[in-house]
Amino acid sequence: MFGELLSRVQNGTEIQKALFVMVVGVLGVFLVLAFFFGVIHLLRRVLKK
Amino acid sequence: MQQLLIGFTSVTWQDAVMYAVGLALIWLAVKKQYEPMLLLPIGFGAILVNLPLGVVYEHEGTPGFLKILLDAGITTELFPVLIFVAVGAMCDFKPLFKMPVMIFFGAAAQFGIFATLLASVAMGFDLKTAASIGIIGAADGPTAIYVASKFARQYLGPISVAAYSYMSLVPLIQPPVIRALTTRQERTIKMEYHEIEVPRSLMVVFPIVVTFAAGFVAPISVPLVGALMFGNLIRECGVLERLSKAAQNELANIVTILLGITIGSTMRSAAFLQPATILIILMGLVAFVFDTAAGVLFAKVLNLFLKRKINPMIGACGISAFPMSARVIHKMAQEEDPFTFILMQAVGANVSGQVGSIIAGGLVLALVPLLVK
Repeated sequence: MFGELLSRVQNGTEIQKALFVMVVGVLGVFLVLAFFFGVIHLLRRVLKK
Repeated sequence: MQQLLIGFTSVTWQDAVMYAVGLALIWLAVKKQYEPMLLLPIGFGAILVNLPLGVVYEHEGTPGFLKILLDAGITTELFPVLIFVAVGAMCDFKPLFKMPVMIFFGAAAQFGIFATLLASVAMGFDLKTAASIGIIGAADGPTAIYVASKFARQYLGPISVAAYSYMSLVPLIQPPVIRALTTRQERTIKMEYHEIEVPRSLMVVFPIVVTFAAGFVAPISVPLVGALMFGNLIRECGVLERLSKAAQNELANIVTILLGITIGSTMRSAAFLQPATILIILMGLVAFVFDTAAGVLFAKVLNLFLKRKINPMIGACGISAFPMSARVIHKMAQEEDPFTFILMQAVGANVSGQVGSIIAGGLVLALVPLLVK
């Protein structure tokens, strides 16, 4: 599904490409930092023992 | 005779404007102390490269020392990466480990990067240049330089100047935006702080885990994230104190000198004096405003669901300008109410902004090439 969306955007206008970068970028930053949030919590618990 | 006076006769009005720009940057660095470590070398480099014949850059086919530095340090991306090692050695993630939830403010405040990217495309810039302009909003000089050197080397000068100038202007940019978006009551929300002990092993494991994560999620960002985390590992491992100090001092100082003057060399009058330069500098300001607004609004949205309210000013600290943003926000809180202490939370969000800006830079580096044929 992501691949299909990507190929459509690749053939789209510059604004569509920028919108794609914006949406995926913002979500991506949140996802990666949420992962780090989980990692910190996990490490804090594991390493405390 | 003409040969003797060539220095005088070959000066153009564009060169004279660049001397004024260079002197203005030096004045800001010396008199106002706005990011002097970078603005002074950039300003001096801008003067050097626009002097008659441009010998320091290239003369009669022979590269000058600034061109050699540019090819060796910027074209290869070596200088920004080395700066990241130094920054990593200076980074203390402890405030983030004590309050991990602050990491989400480091994500929210990156919105300005992407919103500015979109706005720049709407203004007619191509996607790569727009991405380089947007990344000014990372409030992170090395990331801005790294992305611009990959995507829009012709605009490296204005992008770097905008990034470092606005970083130093955080005390002027953020407060009005925060005041416009919050009430006094919100600005005086008090937050509890509990001191939590952070195991040292966490400080050692974290940079390694982050490097692996970056490597798998966005491999193109590894030079950025990897260098930063390498520097941080040197700092936190506890057995490389000499190297840690060398990275924080000698490495940081030497590369800063070379990076600054080399960026100045990209400010040749023909390339710098264009309408695009003014637009880039304006859009940089827009990026900082969007970052601040997004962070504050994110905190306000969270407050709709939380029992223990967050002071929304904390959201503005999610940018990478460390520790200036945290200090500015804490000072604002103290001015509103001397009993509002939010420094630790602000520092936590600010440190998160440092991580968030690099992740955002990495994602821009990964996403944009997918869309540009």
